[in-house]
Amino acid sequence: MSDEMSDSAALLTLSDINTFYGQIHILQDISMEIRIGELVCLLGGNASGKSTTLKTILGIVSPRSGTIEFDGADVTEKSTSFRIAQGMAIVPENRRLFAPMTVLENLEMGAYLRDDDHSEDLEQVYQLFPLLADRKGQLAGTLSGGEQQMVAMGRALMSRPKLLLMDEPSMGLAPILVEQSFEIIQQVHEAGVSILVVEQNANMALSIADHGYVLATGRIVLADTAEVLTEHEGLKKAYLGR
Amino acid sequence: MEFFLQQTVNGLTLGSVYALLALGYSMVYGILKLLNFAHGEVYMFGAFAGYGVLTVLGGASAPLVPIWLMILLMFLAAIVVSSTIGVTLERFAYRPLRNSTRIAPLISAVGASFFLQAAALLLFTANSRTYDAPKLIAIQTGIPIGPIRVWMVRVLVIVTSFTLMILLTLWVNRTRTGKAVRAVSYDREAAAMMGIDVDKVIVVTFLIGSALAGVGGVMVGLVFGRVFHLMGFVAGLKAFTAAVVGGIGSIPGAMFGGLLIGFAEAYTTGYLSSTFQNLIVFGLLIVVLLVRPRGLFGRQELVKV
Amino acid sequence: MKKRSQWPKLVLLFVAMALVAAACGGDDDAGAGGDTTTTAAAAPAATTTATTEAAPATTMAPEPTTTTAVEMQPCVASIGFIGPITGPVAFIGEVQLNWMQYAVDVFNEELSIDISIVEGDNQFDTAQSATLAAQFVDNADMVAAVGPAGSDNVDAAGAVFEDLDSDFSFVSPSSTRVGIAATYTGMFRTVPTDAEQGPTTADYMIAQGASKVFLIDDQSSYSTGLADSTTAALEAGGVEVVTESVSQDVTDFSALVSTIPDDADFVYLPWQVAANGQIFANQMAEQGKTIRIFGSDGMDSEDFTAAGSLVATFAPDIAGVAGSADLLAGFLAEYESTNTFGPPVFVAAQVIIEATYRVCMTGATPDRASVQAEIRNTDLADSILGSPVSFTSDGDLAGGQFFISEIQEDGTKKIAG
Repeated sequence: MSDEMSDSAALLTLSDINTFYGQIHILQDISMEIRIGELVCLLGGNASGKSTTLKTILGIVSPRSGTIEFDGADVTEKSTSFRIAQGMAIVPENRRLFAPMTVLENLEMGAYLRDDDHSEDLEQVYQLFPLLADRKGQLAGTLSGGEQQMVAMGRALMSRPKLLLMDEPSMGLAPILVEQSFEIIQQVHEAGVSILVVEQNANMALSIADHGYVLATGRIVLADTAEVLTEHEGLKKAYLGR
Repeated sequence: MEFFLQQTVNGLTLGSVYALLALGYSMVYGILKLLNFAHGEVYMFGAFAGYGVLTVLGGASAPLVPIWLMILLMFLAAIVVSSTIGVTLERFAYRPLRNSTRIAPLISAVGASFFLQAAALLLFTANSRTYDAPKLIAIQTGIPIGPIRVWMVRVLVIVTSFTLMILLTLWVNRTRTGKAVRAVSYDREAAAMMGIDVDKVIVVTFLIGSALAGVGGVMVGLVFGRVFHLMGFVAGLKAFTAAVVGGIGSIPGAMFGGLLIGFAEAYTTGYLSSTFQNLIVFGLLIVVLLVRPRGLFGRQELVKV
Repeated sequence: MKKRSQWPKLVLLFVAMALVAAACGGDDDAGAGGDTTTTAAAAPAATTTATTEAAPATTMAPEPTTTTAVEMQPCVASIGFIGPITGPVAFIGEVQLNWMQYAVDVFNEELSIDISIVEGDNQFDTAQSATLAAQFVDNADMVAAVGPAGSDNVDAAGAVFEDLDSDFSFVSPSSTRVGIAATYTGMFRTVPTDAEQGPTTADYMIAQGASKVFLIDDQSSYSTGLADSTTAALEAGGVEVVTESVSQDVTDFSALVSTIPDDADFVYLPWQVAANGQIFANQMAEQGKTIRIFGSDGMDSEDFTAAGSLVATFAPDIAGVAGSADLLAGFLAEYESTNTFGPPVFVAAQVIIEATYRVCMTGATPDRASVQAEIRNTDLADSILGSPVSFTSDGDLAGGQFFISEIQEDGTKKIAG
């Protein structure tokens, strides 16, 4: 691990996480770290444990052993809503918008745990995605894939997150939209949000990430800076298709 | 014309009660994908709660409090009793089974239905009770509409029911919790990822659905008179039909479905024969399911990859 | 780490209070019918006027001429009871069981015998009735049974009795379908048949000058059977009959009420649930319909009080039978409320108990065959119903007849025909 790369404080730390589904050992001794302001990607193929890692971070599944620290506090035993209130937000795989609700309502759901006035954040989301301002009364299910991606991002940003979790942002999008989508991620990152991107599309993810982890059958097999990983021979063969 | 108007009023009364019941059925299904077969019994207990208050406060012939207060207290008691039962059911009959097979909570619901029926039999015996509302609000009082007169109790039932439906619609569309209820019904997991406390939303849904059923129970007691321990069964069946016709899970669908079934029953009886009433109602169900399997207001399920 | 606040306890307390109130509040409509109804029996009642302190004496069979039972070997037997103790018509079963218990208590003391009851709850379900019948046949101590109520259940149980042991007698206290007693060797009944009710009803309406009758059945076999026999008699008398149908479980009749033609002379309701009849009457009033309601025996209850309406009854309200006052008072002291389904049970139990007693008096041990033979010989000069009791060769009540009474403004009933 190249911890010397960044000197900012850790935002999220997973230590020796073991997660089971029934008898099946899904995650084995996972340790990883995201520092404040970083964009980290978690790479892996199907059934490598990427989604389970995300669910464990969010508290949707609980690990059998290991600890999760977020923003300086141990959140291993805390509920999903607690973690979200503390500053996590997720753009789920396939976006998972509330299709029969309007764009505005979807965005409001992102700010569900906030009692304060969030009109300013709404303005920021509209600034980032001007299209959404025009479509705010439209039902989310009637939008195109790219537009839905914007709503999903916007919804996650509405909670003003410290850490944005992105589950397979390229999934189900046309290539041109994938590129657009990653540009947006980068834009959000530049605005100061720490991001964890979970991806199969390693090329795309590494092109914008600071750090990367590679998962295979529930274990972390590689962890390094994005530059190092991009040049990694084994990874090239396995994932980068070069 | 007079006959048509009369049947329209008849259908509207019955339909607005069905709609209130169908709402609870549909909301719970929307959130949990569970057919809450005990919903009819929750309604029955509401009707008995109203009867209890009426009796304690002197009965219909010698009320100890002003009539408006009496009716208000009856509704309040029904809301408290029904929603308590609804929430208790959720906690003890459904929640422990939420992550088991799809069929388990269904069986639990059938069991809860029988349990509540038997409990009512023990508590209230099999004798049916009568609200005797005509003694509370005379049958001669009413609002004339063209050639017919609509009894005040019917006016009360229709107005209350529509008011509640409008309030519910505003609530689910305008308030934070209401929107959360909708969000959970559309995608429970995604809602959880937004930080919505799904357990709390489910409890709120049972609370509101059951309260509406309780109000429906008192309405039936007021306008049609008889309450008995088995009254929930047929009412539950009709409410279920209304919910399915409207599109189960859909709130406007439940309201529309309830009213549609009410009108279908009244017009069938009026223009064909009462013998065909159930034939037409359940025929309607079959036709709707053939033409629109998701019901009139049902939405396409999102395809999850 | 849940916070515990006080309000859930308060809510629970309130709920408990409301439910208790609902539970207790029922007494007003199930209240003692004794002082509110005064049907005078038009039956050829050879009412014994000399009422002694021992109430049952007035309704007893002629006193046995032999020595007292005390010197004999003890007369012991068990009698079955099949009835809807729970289920949709538990209001019938509860009262019936109470009268059954009362009859056994009265006669055990009166005759110094030891009759016990085996309760069978059929929940008004024919499958249960059949099962209970088989169980009763298996019970070697049982000589006969009272029940079941309802002709469908009689059919279900009767087929089993006939098949397994035709010596087993069952005396139904409420089954009025025509011909059913002739089908089963062991069946007797203490109520008249619809063959009497239909024509009695129709004759009355014709005599009142009816030309059009609006008839609504409640979709039970009781109701449709009665509707058919009444319709036949009405049409034979030149009366036009308009027929409709509505389930017992329905309580909104307003759509149906709207369809009642204004030129109808009677609305005939052969219904089992009297409270529904009251609702029907209210909904007629609501729509300004003033046509007279004529209810069948099922509508003869305190639940139906629409003044000016008529009801038929297979048994008189025994509050109007002078000779039965002590028995009724004794019953009400113990069980609080009754209805017309009750007293025929008393007669049914009496018939079996006295038949058993007569067998004992011959010195024999009662068995099914001997008890059945004695039931056939039943010849009560008077009964709690105010009329004599004997059976035709089919097992039907001989000379059984229906009564028609009119409901008065104060809720009491006055015999009308």
